[in-house]
Amino acid sequence: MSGSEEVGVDVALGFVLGVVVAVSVAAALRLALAPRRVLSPQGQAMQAAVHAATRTLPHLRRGLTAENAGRAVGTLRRLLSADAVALADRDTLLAMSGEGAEHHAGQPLSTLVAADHLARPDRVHVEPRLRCPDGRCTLRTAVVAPLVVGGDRIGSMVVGWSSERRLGLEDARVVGEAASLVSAQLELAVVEDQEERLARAELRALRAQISPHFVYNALAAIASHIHSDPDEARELLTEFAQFTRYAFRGERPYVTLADELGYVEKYLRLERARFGERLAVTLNVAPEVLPVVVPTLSLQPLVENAVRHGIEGRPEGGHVQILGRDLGGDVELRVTDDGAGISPEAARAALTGAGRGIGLSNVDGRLRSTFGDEYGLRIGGREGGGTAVTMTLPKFRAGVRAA
Amino acid sequence: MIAIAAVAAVTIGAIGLGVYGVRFARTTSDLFVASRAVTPWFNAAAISGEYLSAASFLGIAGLEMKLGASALWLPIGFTAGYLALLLFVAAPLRRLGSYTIPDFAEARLGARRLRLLAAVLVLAIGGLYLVPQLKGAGLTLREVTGAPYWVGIAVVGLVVALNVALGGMRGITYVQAFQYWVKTFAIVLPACVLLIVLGGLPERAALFGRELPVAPQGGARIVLEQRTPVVFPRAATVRVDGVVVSAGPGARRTLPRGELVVAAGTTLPVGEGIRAQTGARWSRPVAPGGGTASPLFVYSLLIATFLGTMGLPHILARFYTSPDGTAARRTTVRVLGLLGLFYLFPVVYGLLGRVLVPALYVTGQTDSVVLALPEAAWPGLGGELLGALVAAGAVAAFMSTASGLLVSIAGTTSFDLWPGYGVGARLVRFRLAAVAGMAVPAGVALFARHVDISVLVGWAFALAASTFCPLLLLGIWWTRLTAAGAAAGMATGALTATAAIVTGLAGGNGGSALGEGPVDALLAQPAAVTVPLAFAAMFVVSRWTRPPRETDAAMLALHLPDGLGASAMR
Repeated sequence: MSGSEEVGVDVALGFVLGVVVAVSVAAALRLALAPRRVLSPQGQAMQAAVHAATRTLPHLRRGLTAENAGRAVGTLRRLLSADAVALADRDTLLAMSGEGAEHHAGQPLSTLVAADHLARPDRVHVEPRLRCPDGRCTLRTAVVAPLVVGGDRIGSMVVGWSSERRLGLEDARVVGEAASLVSAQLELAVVEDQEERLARAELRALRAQISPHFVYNALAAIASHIHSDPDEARELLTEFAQFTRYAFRGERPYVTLADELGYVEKYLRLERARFGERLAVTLNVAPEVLPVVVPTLSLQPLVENAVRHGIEGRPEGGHVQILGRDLGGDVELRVTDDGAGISPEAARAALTGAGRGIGLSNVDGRLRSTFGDEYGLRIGGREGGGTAVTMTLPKFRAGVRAA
Repeated sequence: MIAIAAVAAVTIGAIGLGVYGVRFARTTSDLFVASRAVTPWFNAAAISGEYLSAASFLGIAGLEMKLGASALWLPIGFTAGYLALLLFVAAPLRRLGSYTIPDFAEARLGARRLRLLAAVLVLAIGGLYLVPQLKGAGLTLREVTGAPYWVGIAVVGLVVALNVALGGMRGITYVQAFQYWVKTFAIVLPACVLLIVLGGLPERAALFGRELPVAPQGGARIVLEQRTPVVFPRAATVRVDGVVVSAGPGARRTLPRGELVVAAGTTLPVGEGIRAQTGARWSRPVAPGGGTASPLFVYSLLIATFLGTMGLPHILARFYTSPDGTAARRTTVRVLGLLGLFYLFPVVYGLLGRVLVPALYVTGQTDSVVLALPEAAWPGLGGELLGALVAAGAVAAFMSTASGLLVSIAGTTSFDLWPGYGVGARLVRFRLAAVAGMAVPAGVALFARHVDISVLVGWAFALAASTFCPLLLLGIWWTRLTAAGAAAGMATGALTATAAIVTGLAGGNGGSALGEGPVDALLAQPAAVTVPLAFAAMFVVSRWTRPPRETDAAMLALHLPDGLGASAMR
């Protein structure tokens, strides 16, 4: 290669590298920054206001507190182009923005508006003449709209103006709409809270569900060993104690797969005491997926189902397989049995909670609510009989940690 | 022939282990889960196996032969990078549980857009790091089979891409651990055997003396595949295909294609981009003045490698396999030991190569010294067997590293840049991305033939150190970091580092042929400037903006020691 050729290749290489990196960075910035402006000036102002509202109002989704209200009042004031906006719970002004904010915020609501206007959940009150004891206060008129969650009035939104202008029906309507926007966010807070409680309740329900059938059988199996093999019986009883400890221990929503598998192991030891050689189990889990975070009691119900449907009632016994595959950013866990199999209708029913299967719909629901609808359970028949239940979940999800 | 068989065996073995080995490595019918977690020793070997790339196996010895002892800062930096990881990153990151750097960025700073920027950088760093692996593949296959340079790139690129696309390279901790020992064995055994056969380091003059490289006993016969511009450091008379070429000291000549014959003891001409160095100068780790031995360049390189290791996407993903923060830390300590062991040996090849295969100075292909040395030092079956062993080790080196990189690239693409909805859709995109992700670096590798492997790797490290290192260090240790600050810092680091490298390339310094000034040194290895710039940008913009709400929760997750949480209740 001659010298000039070599420099030419240098330049070519540099050029290729430079273009690749520059294009990638440009593309990333392009995607990351706000979309292009195609709106008229009014449209832009409107868009900016709505954008600001959608950014700040979700703070209220964490509930009506002074901190969250404080984050929202400024935006609301700009949105309504009023001189002052305040959010109050049933009796206190939690946060205020604009005129008079410094001496009203944190005060009882009655310092601004007479209390008898604040009871009805469906009434927007117009106050044509505000009387503030503080002489320097410039606020003259106000509209007070209710914040309603589940039909109850839980607070008020106060919108004030300094000018003595007459307030019309239009003002009351606009403020009323803004208040219902805020109410909707607060309602979401309640819904989210309820969802969380529901998830915890589901976990509790599942814990209660495992026990009776299995506990009876396990204890019977242990009892049968007490005379013939006391050491084994003692060991089994210890396993049983650890098993119940995991199952009933506090409200730990997530554990690592390694922990969950440890629990499955104890469960299977107890089942083996009962079924003996009839229950064959293969555990085939890639070590890379052991640290993945799973909802507590998510794999065990799958295994218990496999044991029920693959072994019970079959004198010749059966084979349960637990497989764990590393799919890169995702993980696939599969529990199979070689029992009678399952029809597609029955599989659907099991996932909706209508059909057979202990807790499968519960596990599916918890997976979906934690990781999103792209993850969850799939139930299918296998060739040559048997059932396979497949669970998919991501290796990492921000905010989901094994406690 | 033996070498081809060895290379084929390693390739097939890697694929076979990927497909079947996973099964054998994880199948048992007993139930003891606790004993199945990957132990720190295994994970450390897996990390080392994935980390020891073509740059380590071929590049260090090649650069050492070309530049001298100053090239040995490279393995020091490669290893020391794990010290930084150990001290500041490994345990907190494992406690958080994140699998990729975009995961970390989102979890720590609560900004989905930051994921995107991080993902683009993963692609840039991974792609840049793939290029030298493919170059190593091209060199090795040419050395072994005589096939053209592009054949090796095509073959290895295709094999790795298909293997990754078909799922053979995911979750293969035990395979990568095995690869570490293959590579270590393949570099240690020939080095030791050759030293025994030669009775120590021959001609100590080569190391500490004042001589320039000369043709060995019996003269040198060098096949020039193309017209080769050379510089004669001393007056010499050589012949190419019988045609006599005479030159005075310092003369430049362009030798025609053909067989170059140099009589024993004659000072060899050196190819373009190589400076003929006396033993004394060659053996100095740092020298005043410019070039790759200048203190500025050495410090810049040390910064790039020390801080860049933590930003290599395929390495961090391996730490996910550690069960907890303590295990992650233990693993890192073991990695330091395993890498230290390996890096003792490339040095031997560089030293011996200077004396025994000085022909490489003429052609400029010093990157092949590890491959060429055994047969040159020990003609006969012994040398051939050892040559086959190092070739197999080199293939193992770039196969394992390239696979790890490609898994990261394809994973990031199918999760962040071109996300599929649902596990199945993502798998399809992962496969497509694996093939496409290999095509681009392969194209660049065809052009990058004359850029030294270790220089290319140095750039990947510079980019990682200027972008992900500030994100990780400040993200883990500074509560005031904001998403805007992180984005600004990473963009600053990426743009300045890229600009410097591209400017250097356009200015014609294709790697080690370095101008004398400090600017040249910084264009060749910009980390000393770009890393502080990235930190500064991240710091300043963060002071201006508000830290995200997630900060406290993320900090707690990062720093709450293992065993204080639920595991204490076990």
